[in-house]
Amino acid sequence: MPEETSSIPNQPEVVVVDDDPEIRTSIEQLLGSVGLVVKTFPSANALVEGYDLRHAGCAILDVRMPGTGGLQLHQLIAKRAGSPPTIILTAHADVSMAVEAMKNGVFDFIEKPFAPQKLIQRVQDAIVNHVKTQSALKESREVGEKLDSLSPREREIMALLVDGKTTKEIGFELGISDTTVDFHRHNLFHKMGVDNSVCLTRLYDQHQDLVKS
Amino acid sequence: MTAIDAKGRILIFNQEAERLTGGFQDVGPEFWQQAYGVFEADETTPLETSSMPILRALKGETVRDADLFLRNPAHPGGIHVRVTATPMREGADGAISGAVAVFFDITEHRRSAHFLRQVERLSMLGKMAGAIAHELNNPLAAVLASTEAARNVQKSDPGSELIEDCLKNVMRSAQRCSDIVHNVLAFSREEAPVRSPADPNAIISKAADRVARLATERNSVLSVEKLESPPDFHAHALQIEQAIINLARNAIFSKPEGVVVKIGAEATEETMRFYVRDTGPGMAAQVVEHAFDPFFTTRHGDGGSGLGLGIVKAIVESHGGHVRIETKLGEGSTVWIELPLAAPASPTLDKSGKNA
Repeated sequence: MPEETSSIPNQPEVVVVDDDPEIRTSIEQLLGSVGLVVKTFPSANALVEGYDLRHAGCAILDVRMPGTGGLQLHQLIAKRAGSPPTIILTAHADVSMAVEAMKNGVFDFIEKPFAPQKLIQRVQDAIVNHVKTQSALKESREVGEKLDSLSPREREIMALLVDGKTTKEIGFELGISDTTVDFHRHNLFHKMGVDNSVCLTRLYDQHQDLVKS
Repeated sequence: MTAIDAKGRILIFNQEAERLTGGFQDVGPEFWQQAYGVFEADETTPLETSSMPILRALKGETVRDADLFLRNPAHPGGIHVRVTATPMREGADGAISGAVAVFFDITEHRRSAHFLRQVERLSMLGKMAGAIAHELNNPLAAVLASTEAARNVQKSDPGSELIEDCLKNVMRSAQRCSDIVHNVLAFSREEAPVRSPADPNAIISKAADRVARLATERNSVLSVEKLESPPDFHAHALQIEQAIINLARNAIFSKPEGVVVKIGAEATEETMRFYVRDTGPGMAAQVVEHAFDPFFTTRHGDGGSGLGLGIVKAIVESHGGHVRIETKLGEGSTVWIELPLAAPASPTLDKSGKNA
């Protein structure tokens, strides 16, 4: 057995939704051969009803299926928090469809018959992308929770620190003593899990960026 | 036209007869074939003296629209003629005193009909090309992916059972490609079917054998109802078998599993009727309406090429028969293939022997 399959706990899975049994089997075999864990489904319904998408690191969807097609399924999935990037498989090159799909946030659009190596590559890219996004989101959530734990005074002081103000300037602006500013600053650093204002500023900026995106 | 007396001597040989045959030759009937270059419509088989329409008429037969081919010095490229011949009778007893034959030159007619068929087939093939490429996509993608998978496993874990699984999927997919190509070839064949005596029961059981594995795989039950006394039947047996296979495959695929399919035949005095009956979901009117359109399919991705019924229709119509669908939503479908028992032989001969 390829050693990667069992040794990584919580490895993101790849889901394949295609009504063609041979395609399902072949993709499962292909991705399985490079150590990916694959779950296959014959229809959009089977996926939606029988799978927790938070376990997936990538979803491969066929465009043309009876019932809900791949693009429609992508729209359904994309609305959910923590949903995986989707790769759409299509049998005919349809430029307008591809453009529309990319606009709707599809990770990639691959034409059948696909080069096996390309599919592996794009699936791995998608998983890396997903893992990165998920960990960034998690971090941002944590920073958000830390920010929530700050008192109003600590928040005021943080805003001024991030602006690059010194203890003296902050004390002057808020009409409080330097010792009091230092006291709040100490508590605020502790709560945010940083030990200087440079780290605090970086954390704060990253969080703001993520919230905006 | 030409007319002969009771002894086969030529009485009338008009201008058109002169033009077609290259001129009158004073020889007995047994030399006509060579003298006028008379062949069957296949352009190669010399026509037997006893099969000459006018001589058959002399024996009391009325021959209508017999198609012949003449190749002689006047027509080195050959011409196709259609002949009608009747006996001439005299006296109270209606004794045959001679026979008359009328010829029509149908070369041009045949050529344009042939050309039209060519054009139709080409335009159909054009439409097909895109659809064929599309149909081959899935199984080809599966072949490529499973082969690559087998190579990867071979490197990381030689001898793993996974390799066998991959190869199985390659086989199945390649088989699908081959089926598609097979069906396309069936479409692109040019000739009219060569009909020879065929055993309807053998056709049914061979067709059933070919789909038996598929039926088992899909937990379906396949049964066969043979004729107790099969009549004389002429057909291109392999083509009819293919048509029945296509119908049976459709029947088996009509539900994900558990379909009961029956293949059988019925014979009447003039027709041979094959049927494939299933307990599937039946077809909606709009499905029936498009059922024979090339590339119309209700099972995308599941091996449905949309060619199966089109091929059935092409085969059956080339046999001078027709296909009929009986279906009821929720109850199932029966598709009938109705064929004339005897091939309308070319030349077409009226064997009634009655006076026209």
